Amino acid sequence: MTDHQTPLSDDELLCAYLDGELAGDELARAERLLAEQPASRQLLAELRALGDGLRALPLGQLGEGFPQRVLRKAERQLLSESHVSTAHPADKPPARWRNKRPWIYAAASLAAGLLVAVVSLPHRSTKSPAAAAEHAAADQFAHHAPESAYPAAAASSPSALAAKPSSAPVPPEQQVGLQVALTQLGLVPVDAKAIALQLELSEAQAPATQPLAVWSCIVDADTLEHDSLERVLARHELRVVEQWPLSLEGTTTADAAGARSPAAKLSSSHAPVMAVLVAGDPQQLNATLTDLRSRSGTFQQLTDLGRKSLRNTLAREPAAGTGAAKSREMPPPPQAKREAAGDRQPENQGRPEKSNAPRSRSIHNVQAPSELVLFILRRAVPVSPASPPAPGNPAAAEQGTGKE
Amino acid sequence: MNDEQLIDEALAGNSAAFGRLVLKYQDRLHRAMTQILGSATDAEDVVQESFVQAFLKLETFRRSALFYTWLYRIAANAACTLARRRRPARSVEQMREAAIGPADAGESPSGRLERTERAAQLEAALARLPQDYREALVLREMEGFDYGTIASLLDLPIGTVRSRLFRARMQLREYLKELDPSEPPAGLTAAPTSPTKP
Repeated sequence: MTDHQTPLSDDELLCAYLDGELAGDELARAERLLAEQPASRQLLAELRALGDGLRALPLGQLGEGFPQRVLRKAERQLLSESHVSTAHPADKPPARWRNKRPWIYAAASLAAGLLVAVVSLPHRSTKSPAAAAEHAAADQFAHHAPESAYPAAAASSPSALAAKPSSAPVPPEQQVGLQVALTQLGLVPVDAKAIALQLELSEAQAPATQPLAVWSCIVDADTLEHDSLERVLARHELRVVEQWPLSLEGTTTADAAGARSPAAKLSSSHAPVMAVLVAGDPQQLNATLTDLRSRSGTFQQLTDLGRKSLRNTLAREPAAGTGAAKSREMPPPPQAKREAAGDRQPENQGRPEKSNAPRSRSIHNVQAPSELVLFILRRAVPVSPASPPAPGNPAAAEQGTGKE
Repeated sequence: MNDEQLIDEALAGNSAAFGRLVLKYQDRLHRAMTQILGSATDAEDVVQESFVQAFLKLETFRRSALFYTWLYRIAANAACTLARRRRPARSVEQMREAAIGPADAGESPSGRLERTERAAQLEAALARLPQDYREALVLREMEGFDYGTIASLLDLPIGTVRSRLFRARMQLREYLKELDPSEPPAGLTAAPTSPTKP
């Protein structure tokens, strides 16, 4: 292919020859050079070896889980666009996706299957949540779940967890456990319906009290945008069961209520933005926490917020900050189960259940070789609306934009 | 199922079909982006974002080009965006350590070491190239695109592509000689070729 005006130098001609991009007179000239000049042949050989070397460079292995990460992120983006489009009708997602809600649900159901598989596995621990909460943060998982306590080690692998999707419809009351766990922390999921959706598809195998360790850290916008946590988790072969954006209302509510919630242990200048639910065996989780601590520049102020008890029904809220210690088994009131179900969920979203009747189902403590951990990712925001950054302080002005 | 069929399936709402496209091209695109950006972590970000955007905008793909070419263009734009706010990241060296993999069965420790060193030298030399040159070289040598496609992807005249490729190769050759004057480029034995068409 020749679109140049000036004649090519001999060496440049040989490069184009190597690439098979010569024709006519130029091709004839290159062949003549190679036939007559050993130096040209040597150069061509070197250039060819160079290309061979480049092509032999190792491929980075993104792994078989990468497509799922891509699809999950796309799904989140779609849901987010749908959310935005509700408020701004002019900014709608593409028509293809407006008509593909069933597809989105199908993608969500995949995650749901994983979650159910995780929570339905038998739990090996018979310790009370209160006892569990006493373990030191650094070796929380290792202490809480000695390796020898897991007879079916294979079942703890992500693939084993994923291989146990359930098929029966889930009682609505089980849809709200996670949401309750979040509200106990003073956090409000932006799209509570999405959480219900995930669990709805999960099954009635219903365990329902599952220890949930909660950790919080502060991250910047890049970390959020590029799923850095997810990559650390993947490195330890941990699976993100699901994640949800959180609304700023959580902080506002908790702080206004006297900052009693575990979430309020952190400075109010850090807004919760994302909840990430992770399942894995204790050793994996412990290694992950160590890894996260070593990345203190990216995951700042990694903080143990204690343990919650994940219930399958609207539970009476334990005192904020002591959820793990106050969680206890309740007998399953026969009717309260349906009463506490989905119909009530929207109005209870974001605030504790006020009824005196114990609504939690007791639920057998299941034995599982897996642990659930909820990471609350926070991002710095201006400390107080009452004290805006000084005009001449661009660093302070950038707080809250994730560019700290 | 070929790319066209997978795209049709994805457009019909079958996300798993798109997942197969991701699996097919993820490592190839990651390698290219790693070499262009000089960071495996940044490259992973770009590759993920590129696939997400491709998925969301799949209905705009007009199929006048190959899917990978279209995807690559998305990735190149994402790489430009990322490069503007680059952050400390996993280096190419770290990526190579992770990706070089276990020794081949029968490969001696010294053979593996030599292979690793060759790759390290080549990547170090590649990283020294100006980004424009590096990108052209990656597109040609690693991606196997012809000049016309490269010109289209980079929005350049073909003559400029040829010129960049020539300069990139010459510079790379010089850098490698500086790193190890005793070895031919890329540590490979380069026997003089007979004057046959490539």
